[in-house]
Amino acid sequence: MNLTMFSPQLLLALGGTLLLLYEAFGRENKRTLQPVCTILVLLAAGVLLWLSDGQVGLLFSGMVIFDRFFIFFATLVLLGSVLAVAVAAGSLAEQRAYHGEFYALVLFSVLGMLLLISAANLVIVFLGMEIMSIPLYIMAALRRSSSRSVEAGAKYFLMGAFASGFLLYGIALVYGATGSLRLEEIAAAWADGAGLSFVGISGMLLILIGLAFKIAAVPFHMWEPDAYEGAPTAVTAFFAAGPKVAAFAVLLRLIIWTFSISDPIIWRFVWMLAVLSMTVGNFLAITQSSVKRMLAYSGIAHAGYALIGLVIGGQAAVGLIGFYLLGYFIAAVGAFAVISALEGKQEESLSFDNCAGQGKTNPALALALALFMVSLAGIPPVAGFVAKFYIFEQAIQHGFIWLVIIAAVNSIVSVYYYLRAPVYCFMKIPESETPPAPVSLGLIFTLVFAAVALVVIGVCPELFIKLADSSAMWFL
Amino acid sequence: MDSTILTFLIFWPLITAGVLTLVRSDRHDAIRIYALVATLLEFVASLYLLFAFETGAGYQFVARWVWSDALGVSYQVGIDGISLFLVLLTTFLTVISVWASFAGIKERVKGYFIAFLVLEAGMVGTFCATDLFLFYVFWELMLLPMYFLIGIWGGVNRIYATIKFVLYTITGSLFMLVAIIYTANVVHQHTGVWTFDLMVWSQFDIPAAQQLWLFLAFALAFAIKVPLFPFHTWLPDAHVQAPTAGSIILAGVLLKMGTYGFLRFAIPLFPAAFLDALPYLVVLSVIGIIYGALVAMVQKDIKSLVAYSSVSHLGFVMLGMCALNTIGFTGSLLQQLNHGLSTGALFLLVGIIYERRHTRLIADYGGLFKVVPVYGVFFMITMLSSVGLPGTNGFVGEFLILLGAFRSQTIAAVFGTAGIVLAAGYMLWMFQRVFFGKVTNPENDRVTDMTLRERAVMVPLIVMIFVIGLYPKPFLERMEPALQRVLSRVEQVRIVREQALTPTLFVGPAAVPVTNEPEEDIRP
Repeated sequence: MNLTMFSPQLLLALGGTLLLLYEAFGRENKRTLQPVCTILVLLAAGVLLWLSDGQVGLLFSGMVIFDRFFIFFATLVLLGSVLAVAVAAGSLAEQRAYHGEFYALVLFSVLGMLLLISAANLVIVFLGMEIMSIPLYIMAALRRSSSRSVEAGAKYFLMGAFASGFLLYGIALVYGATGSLRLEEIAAAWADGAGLSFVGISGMLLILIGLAFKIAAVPFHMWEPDAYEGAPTAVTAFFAAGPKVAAFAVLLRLIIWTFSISDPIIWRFVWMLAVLSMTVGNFLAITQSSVKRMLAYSGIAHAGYALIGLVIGGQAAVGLIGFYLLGYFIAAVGAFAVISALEGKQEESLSFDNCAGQGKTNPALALALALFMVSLAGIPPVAGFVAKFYIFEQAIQHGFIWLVIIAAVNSIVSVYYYLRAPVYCFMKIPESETPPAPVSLGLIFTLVFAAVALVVIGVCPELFIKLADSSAMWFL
Repeated sequence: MDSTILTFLIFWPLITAGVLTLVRSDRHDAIRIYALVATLLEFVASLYLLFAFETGAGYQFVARWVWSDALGVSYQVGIDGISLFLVLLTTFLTVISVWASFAGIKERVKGYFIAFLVLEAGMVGTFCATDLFLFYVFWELMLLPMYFLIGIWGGVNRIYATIKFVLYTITGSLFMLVAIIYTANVVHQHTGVWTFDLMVWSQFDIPAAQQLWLFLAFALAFAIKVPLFPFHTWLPDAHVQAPTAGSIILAGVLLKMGTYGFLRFAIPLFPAAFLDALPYLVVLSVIGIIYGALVAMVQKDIKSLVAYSSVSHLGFVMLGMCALNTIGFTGSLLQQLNHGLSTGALFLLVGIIYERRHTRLIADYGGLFKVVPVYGVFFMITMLSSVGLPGTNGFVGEFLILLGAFRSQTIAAVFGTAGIVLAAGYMLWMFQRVFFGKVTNPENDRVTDMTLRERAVMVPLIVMIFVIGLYPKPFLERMEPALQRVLSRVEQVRIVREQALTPTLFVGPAAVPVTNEPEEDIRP
């Protein structure tokens, strides 16, 4: 067994533990050193990941897999976490939500995500899910003085526990039907029809429901707006980047590879999820007055668009969803970063009215926000557009023109609410003067990185699409 | 040089806009001059196209690079007789607009000119793109600067107007995007190549069964831009609320995107569906002509009068296209230029008086001719060219359109002629109320006449009005071959249909297929 293939996970576990000890026993400069250390650990994990590029293998007697798919999606998770932590470094203390444990929790949560992406056994799927989620519940309630934040944590926890229940129940049923927890054996049982009993299919659907909670697909989305709005904004940025990508990755592994999407029940289930998420997410986003809540609903809608990739199925879906998530989470993290800066010391979440006049007082932040909104709306020439185009292109090529038309109508609706942010920033006249927002170094890093990345991906998509497509290289 | 000139024209405004972001934003004069010089250089460079253009030689100045293999898209530009003058109109009107906004724009000057330069890149790119993906990218690229121009520097109701403008446009364009990808898929199924290259597409006949929906999706996007009745309701809001230069560009260039889209994509790619839709398009054009004119007549605000006159004029442009003969087509394309010049000039003049009096209501004026004679003369010439007085550009365009229309769509042409009479009505009536009579409002006595800069901005427009009006030949002869190619594609389909129709006549009445054949033969 080659432990280098597992070294990213080991490093994260070690780093998280050390950071926890440092928080307990450390004395000086904690507030600057903690985020720096966290980012360094995340980056080092990324380096370790790519050092083993080209190798594939099963570890721990078939519990964990290392392949190109893992490298790609783990990179997305690590990248998103770095961006979110950079935002948190400045803004958590500002919003009186600073607790040193946050950074250790980030590392543990990322460890869970990596386990989830690399799972080759349903037990590891469950384990990864829990290691990822429990830190998230704590993070949502990080601002203990605010009832909204505590409420967010509680809601997230309850719904998360509910989802875990579904997942676990599903795993048990699948085990009953196929006699195995190993994905390759389940896939084999599925392929020769042995798993296709009533018990097996129920189990599979329950697993999908558990994962649908995590990607916040309608009708399993209820927790997301509250959790997103109540959590400190830097934490929300982390929610948008990490857990979603990881949950989509495991969904891909399970649906594309283990239970074939060509199964009519799964297929119907997935396209209904896609259509419902797009439509409900977009229409509810219109009515929101809080920018964060609007972005939460937009996240639901984007999950719907990404699910189109899953409906298409096959290896194409992997690259498609990978590329789509890349475009989505960079824009989302960037947008949350701007919101956290504009909120400043304010404890309530940013409303559209708060945005009025920001184009004058904080022109750079307002412009960045406009760029992220444009990307989320899928208007060229930024990443969001290319990602949407790629999904549409593949869907039409595979004969899903009806799904594309539904998505296009949804996109039209979404333009309305995405452009509200720039409307308020640049066009409305504010009722009162807003002070310039505090801008930390980490925030600048995140914003510049996100903005440049979106434009670069939008203008030269080739490289990134190839990269995402290459992640479809499976081990088994 | 020939293969890089278009790329230069597209990216020069973007580069200059990028450099402009580095300039300190309180140096207003420097920014204004910089923007003027940048657009002027762009215009001078675009004149090269005029001299190097070979009449009748198809697409020229072509450049092609693969953009992304995974998506199957390429960067591919080229122009022919259809786009040549539209590109020149764009670069010309941008200079005029930038210069015209020297006095009117006092706030956020830097952002304003950056938006204008990006807008110019989008417009030139849209006219030059010969890859549908690239076309779509530029088409949408125009949207954002215009959204900011109306929304930030516009009038009181600017936010409503700009959101309406964006939503209308995006509704059309997203369906067009789906249709573009679907067409690529159809081409792919028959040829095995996944491409958005217009050259490949136009060598391939899209099966008639699929044409109708694709045509409708394209036509929706273009009809909203034109705007064809009943998709015009965004236009009065956007025009009235936009800053002067925004209105000039909106009327002068952005509306032409719609008619250009019909000529370049919708008609040649889906000729059979176009023939099917023809009767409806004719009716909508005629309604647009009459309705636009009637609504213009009752407007109290000069700017919305001009805005509604655009609906009427663009109805003429569409009617010329529906005539389906060379005369109608050339008239239609020429009238696009004319409308850009005349209506652009009208908006400019309305803006000039608005800057002085801060009102656009016709009732607030009267007797202006005595107070500001130079302004009056400029206004009169422009107004007459918009009405279509012989000797001005408007006459040539409308005459050709009606001549073409009378040959194939006689009834529609009769109604169209009524539109000309109505146009003379609302324009002259407005002119009379604003400029003649006694000065009833004492504030109008203090209005100053046009400054040197304003005159200098107007003169090129007036010159062009007369050049096209008196000697349209160099324009027409460059347009004709390209238009002929579009026409021949429609003609082929029509001939095939006629041949298919003739033998079935002998089988018996029950076997006669129902087609939307136009009533009479119209060979020019």
